[in-house]
Amino acid sequence: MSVKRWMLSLAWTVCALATGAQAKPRIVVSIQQTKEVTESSRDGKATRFVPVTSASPGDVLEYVLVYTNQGDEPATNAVIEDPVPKGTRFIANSAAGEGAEITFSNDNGKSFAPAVKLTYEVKLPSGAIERRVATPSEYTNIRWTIPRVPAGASGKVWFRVRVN
Amino acid sequence: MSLPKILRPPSLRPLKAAALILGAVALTAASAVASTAANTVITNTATVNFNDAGGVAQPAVSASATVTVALVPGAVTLSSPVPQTIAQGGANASLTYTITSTANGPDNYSLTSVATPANVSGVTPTFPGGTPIAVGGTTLAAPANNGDASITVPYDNAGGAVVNGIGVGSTIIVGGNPYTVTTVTKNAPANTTAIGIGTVIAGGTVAAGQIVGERKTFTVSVPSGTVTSGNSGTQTVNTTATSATAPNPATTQTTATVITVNRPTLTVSKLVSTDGGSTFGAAGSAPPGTVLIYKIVATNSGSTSAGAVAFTDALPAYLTYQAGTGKFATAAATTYAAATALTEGVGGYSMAANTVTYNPGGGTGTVAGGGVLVLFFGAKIN
Repeated sequence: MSVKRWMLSLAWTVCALATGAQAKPRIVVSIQQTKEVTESSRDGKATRFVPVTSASPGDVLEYVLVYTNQGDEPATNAVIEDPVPKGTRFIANSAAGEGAEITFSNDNGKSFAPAVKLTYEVKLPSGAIERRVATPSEYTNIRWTIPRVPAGASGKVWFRVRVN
Repeated sequence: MSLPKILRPPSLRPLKAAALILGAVALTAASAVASTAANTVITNTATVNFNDAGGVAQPAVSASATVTVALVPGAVTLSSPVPQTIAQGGANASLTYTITSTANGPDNYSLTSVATPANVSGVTPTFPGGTPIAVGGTTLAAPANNGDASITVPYDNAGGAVVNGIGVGSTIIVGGNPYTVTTVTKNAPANTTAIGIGTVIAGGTVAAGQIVGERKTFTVSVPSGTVTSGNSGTQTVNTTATSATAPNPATTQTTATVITVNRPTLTVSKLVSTDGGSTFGAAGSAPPGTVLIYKIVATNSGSTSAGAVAFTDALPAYLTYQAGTGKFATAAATTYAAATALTEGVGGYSMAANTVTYNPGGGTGTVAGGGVLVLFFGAKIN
């Protein structure tokens, strides 16, 4: 074996040892919870979101889910699932997240579909079955699917609800 | 490794995912009274499942955030007690009110009451049960249907057998109808509480989110005051209940309660006896020299005492007062013979210038409601 090749293989071995036997992703997630407040001034009304621990019926709450891959390997097929909190209803068009495919469930997580395709069946008094499009306030779960989260990368997804 | 700086999500910007392009925003109109009970804890839990680079599933991670629902104070519903009549100086009028919460949680309500006098002196109503009064409130967590023997309300994040101020024995209003609470069973894991009711729900389905308010009663005590002229006056009572929570909504009874105050009334009758006091009549006939015995009866037809009752009787011509004939009695049936003797110049009894005066004062001069004071005296026909 040439010295060069030997050094390369030594370097490779050193590399392998240095990395350790378990390169893996490590996702951490946190929630930032805020409430919409409206302030009136001479120039009109302005709304902003402030962190809160208390809310009144009718208030709009926003949840920002921050995820970070603190590991040393990419995470794949990261699926963030968030049931719409009991006592609130989902506000249409308020779910977002860069790079995420967003789907919804209105059967408590048994099945998910994109919003336009989310339908359900209702049995009418006549016995006929009718297929209806689910209205956003009936969504029970939201799911964001992110194909790949590189090591060290972070992202956020968010949605809003109204307190019943 | 530090977390990247968090940028504010722009409000409702269009998403890359085509999935969320809806033709029209479906706005669900919230019921005007749909609400969530105060003290309810709303928990949001997000879970992340992910794989490693090789596609091997990793343990899930999750995070939670909670908010507690705040009290939204409400103006209570107050009843308007029916009118009453009381006697001046007698027992206070006692007005019983019902107070019903319209709030999504327990609150304290301070009570004030104003009595506006007409032809009577001013008085201050009081609250025997004290003020403020605590009244409970919650909301339906699930619809209440006809025939249900219990209702489901949110868990109030507290132990014990009282949920948002409502306990066994409380009266609650569901869908406008009253029910008595028989049991309170909390289910913290389900975030709900079951309230058992004495009679089943009737009157139609009551939707989830409707307010369930407690109903309580309290009394207001109103003194009569003193009638200023004539025989009666009125106290017009308006009671107000004010929430202790800003912006302190208040309710005043819709129809004022009118209390009529009657002054005690005395009637007087005069009878004469021509047979020395054995029998009395309204009129009589006797020859000169007869000693007539007069009987003057003051009757209190009211329901309260009349004080300082006094008699003044000016004898007509042709009659001469007979000393030593004065007597008094406190019952209409007492005969002249059995009545109590009076001495001229003693105890408020006197005769001067042909006028008989009897002003006993004190207890004798106070005639209870329905009672009498009788004065006897003799006068001889000249």
